[in-house]
Amino acid sequence: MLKNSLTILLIALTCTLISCEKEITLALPPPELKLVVEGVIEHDLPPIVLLTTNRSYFAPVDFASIEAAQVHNANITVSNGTTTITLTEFCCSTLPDSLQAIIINQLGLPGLTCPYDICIYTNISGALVGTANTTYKLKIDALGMNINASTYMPPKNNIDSVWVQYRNYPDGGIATWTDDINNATDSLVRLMNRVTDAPLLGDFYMYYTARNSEPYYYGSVYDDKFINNLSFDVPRFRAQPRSAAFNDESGLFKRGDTIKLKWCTIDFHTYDFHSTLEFELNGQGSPFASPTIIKTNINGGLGIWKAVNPNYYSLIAP
Amino acid sequence: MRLLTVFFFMTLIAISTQATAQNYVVSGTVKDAATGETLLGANIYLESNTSEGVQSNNYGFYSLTTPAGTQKIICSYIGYENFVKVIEVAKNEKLTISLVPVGVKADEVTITADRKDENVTSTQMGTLTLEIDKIKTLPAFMGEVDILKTVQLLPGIKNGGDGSTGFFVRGGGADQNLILLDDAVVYNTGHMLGFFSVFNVDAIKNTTVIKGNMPSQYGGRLSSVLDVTMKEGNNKRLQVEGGIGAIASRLTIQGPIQKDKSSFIVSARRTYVFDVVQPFVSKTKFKGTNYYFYDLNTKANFILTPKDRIYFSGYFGRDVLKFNSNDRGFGINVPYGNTTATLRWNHIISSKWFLNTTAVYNDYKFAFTGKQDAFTFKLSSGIQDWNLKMDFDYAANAKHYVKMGASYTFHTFTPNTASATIGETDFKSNEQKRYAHEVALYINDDYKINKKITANIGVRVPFYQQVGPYDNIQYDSTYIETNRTTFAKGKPVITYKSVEPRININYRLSATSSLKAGYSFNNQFIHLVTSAASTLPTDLWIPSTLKVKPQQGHQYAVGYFRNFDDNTYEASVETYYKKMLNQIEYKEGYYPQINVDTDESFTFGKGEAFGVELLLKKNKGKLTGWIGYTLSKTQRFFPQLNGGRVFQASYDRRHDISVVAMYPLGKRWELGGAFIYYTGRAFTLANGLYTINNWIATQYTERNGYRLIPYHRIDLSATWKAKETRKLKQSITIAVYNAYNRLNQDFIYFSPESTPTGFTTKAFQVSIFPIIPSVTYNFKF
Repeated sequence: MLKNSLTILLIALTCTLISCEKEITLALPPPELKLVVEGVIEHDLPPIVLLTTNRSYFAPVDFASIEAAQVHNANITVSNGTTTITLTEFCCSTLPDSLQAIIINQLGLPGLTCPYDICIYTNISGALVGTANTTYKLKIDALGMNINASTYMPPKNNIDSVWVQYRNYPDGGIATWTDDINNATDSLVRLMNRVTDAPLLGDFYMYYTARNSEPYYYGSVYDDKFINNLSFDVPRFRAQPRSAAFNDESGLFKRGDTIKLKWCTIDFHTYDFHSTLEFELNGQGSPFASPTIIKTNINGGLGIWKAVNPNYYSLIAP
Repeated sequence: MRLLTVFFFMTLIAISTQATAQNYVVSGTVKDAATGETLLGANIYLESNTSEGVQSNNYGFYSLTTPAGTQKIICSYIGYENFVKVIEVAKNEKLTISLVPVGVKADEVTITADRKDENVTSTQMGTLTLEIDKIKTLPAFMGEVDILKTVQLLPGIKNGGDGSTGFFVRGGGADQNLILLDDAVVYNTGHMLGFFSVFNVDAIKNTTVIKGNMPSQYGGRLSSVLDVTMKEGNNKRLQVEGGIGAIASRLTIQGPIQKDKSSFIVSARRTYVFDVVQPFVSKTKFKGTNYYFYDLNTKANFILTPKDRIYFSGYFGRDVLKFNSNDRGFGINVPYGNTTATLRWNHIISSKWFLNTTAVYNDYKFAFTGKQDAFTFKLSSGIQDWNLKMDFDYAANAKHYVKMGASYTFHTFTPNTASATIGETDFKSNEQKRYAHEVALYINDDYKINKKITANIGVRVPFYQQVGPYDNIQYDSTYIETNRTTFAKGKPVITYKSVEPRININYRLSATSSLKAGYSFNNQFIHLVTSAASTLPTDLWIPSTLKVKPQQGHQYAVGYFRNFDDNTYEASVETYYKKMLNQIEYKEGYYPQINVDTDESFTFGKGEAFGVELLLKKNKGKLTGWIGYTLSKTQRFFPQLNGGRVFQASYDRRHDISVVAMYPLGKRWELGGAFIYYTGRAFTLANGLYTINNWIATQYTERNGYRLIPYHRIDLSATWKAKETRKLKQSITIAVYNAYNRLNQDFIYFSPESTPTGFTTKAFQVSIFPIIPSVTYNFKF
């Protein structure tokens, strides 16, 4: 990320004044058809799987195309080693609004009703829900392909405390952040938290944030190789959809906002998937970045099957 | 094996010396009469035997074996009047040769000195010495004259992209070029993303590029040598020269410390293009954001005795990028650059023996500091060398010219080392520095076997040892440490040693043509790993370790060389095949991981390259220049990349053409032009996408499976020289880069474009440099 940021910055500084660009058309072969899994099992919740296929790079991306890429009538099972459940397909078009709201919130989509006929696979019998220290195996049989994956749910990690800091930004000066509300020069705040990492190496974290009634948006992932067995205060920037424009409020909250933090522990493969996905997204389009192959724990397919053990925190920014 | 080789050479020399013991030796130094600068590569020969001449070495020293009696000695060097002197040889003689530059006597600047048929007679293939005065008349990108961009115009040498100073020789990576500035290795050759080289031409005396089988005095790289020598400084009179350009300005001061005995040169260059916009930037939240680079070259030399001379030289260059976003209290500072210092002692042991002893310190550092309020993040990497070497030249007799020597380097590598501070909590990565000894012994003999066959036979024996402190860490599949072996300070970790035979043979077909063949085997113990198609300052130099084996390269080359019209035209056809082992790339799916041994980021494979290079060069007359063409292929095989399938190197180019011309128009004008055409760069294209985590992830096709469209452009320049006075020389160069405004595809990027219901991804080509005119004012007094 650092390399990409630097090169993009240097390129911007050196070339924007003189370089020319124009749209071109490239003849591309279609990609080999693969199943794409976005599956999650959270603590105390049943597994949820979205199953789609990959498609051509220049194909339009909209609700209609995403809906069309969904794979129906798949045979999906999840096992914790002792119990195996079969997941059933539920589509928004057959669900009441109240259930739709739960689904789209779970998927990190804004709004109260499904923007398209989202279909998920789950099992609401309660026969299998996420518990810590458990490995979950996923098997999928669809479109003539058999794929499988395995994920592990680690124990929770508790955040010591969460609070906000206020911006002090004098005219023509450099912004600093303060705990003292009396030194705030505007309404922008940033979320702070104090984290303590466990003594042994091998912890992996993921966070989401939400603001007011917005859904939880994905923030980022971390491992503990740099922070092992340390306690420290760290700002946690407001997560946004990738399509959101960058502006003065990006990453920040405002006084009066209800701020929510979802702090999760995950396994290495989930961390590896999100790290490569972030690295790839940050380098997308950059001529200086080598293409990053996004890691997956799906044998024979793409995507991720992840176990997530979250803690939820909420505060209203004073 | 090594002892046998040395024994072989010494015996050979002893016999040859005995057989020709009745001859005498004329030796001395070749100098520029106007400045006192020593001249390297000057041809010295007897009128009675032009085929057994010698060349002055890198320090101007020559040693010519002559029969007793009256001899007419001739010395020729391009750009200078021929030196002719008749001497009576009855014993070993000392003769200092002072060559007078052509321009000093003649009003019209034309090159009149005879040039020997060097390319036909020498054993070395793929070698070219660049004449700085000539380079200055070629069109320069944004007016900045650049030796690296000139080097890229030679067949077999490919650039790293539009405007880039990075170069790739005969299918080798950018790190496989040994780039020396006064014997100091230059690890980072580019400023501003590589658009400008670190070499300030005002401080450069000579540049030699060897793209073929390098002789054994060079080593540690697989592909090529670019040997740059700084000027020594005018020891006759004080001289100031400089230039004012669109991007940067230069100033050089040189002169005698003690006339004819010692001299100095100080040369500086700095950019100001972003300084100009500072008044506007300072009124925004980006106040403090800036970018600049600078170079400082210094050198001093002292003639202590007729046999001893010492030199001090140094280079210091930095790029500095600062970016501030004051509304968030965020700022970054990225300084990087080279520092080199060289201390050299030239000693003429006897009329046949010359010793050069050099001590070199060099240091390349890259640093990144990011700060926001109480949070500070630092990342640094670099390489530091201490080097001592001794090189002997032994002009045994008319048939043997032997070079031998030894070199020792202590390397200290800093891989990506990160640290952070949040409030009162400090975080540090465990990434250790790496330490290594590198020793090399070499000997080679330029052996005139008979009138038709000449051979340069040599051997280099490198020895490389990684030493502690070092922790060899083993990891499980999640990069959690499973085992650690600790090596104490100075304790050997791993040793690599090898024997590298080098041979070049020249078979004279006629007075104007020859057939040459060569083979070389090279080891490379330090490596540049890049995640990009071109070279960047963020690229990482890493050493050979327990986990990273030395790169190895075998190169075979055959060439036919022919001169025409009294050496006015030089023509050559060279073919080569190069096999490269232990090549390094980042693993597929690589992303930076702090506190995981850097060596875990790499995967290893092999490569091969082959091609044909044609060169037609015109050396004399008003119109000079060359036409070069290369047909080549470079491919790589890594079991862990591209599904284990062979893929093209990103710098693989099927066709590469360059046409360079220089023409003086009257007394005042010098015209220059260059045409470049090459097959588009290979790159990896996305062909699939999938929706995940509420965004779009990309799938890629074959690694480097697609190509940009062919690249071509013409650059033109015209230099107007004001009437010269005794005190002042002035010129103005007007140059146009990419004169017909070809919109080359420098890269392709993809961007989501909104549609009423979502978006589609579109492809855009970026042409970084359309037509760019520039004006540069140069002066000298």
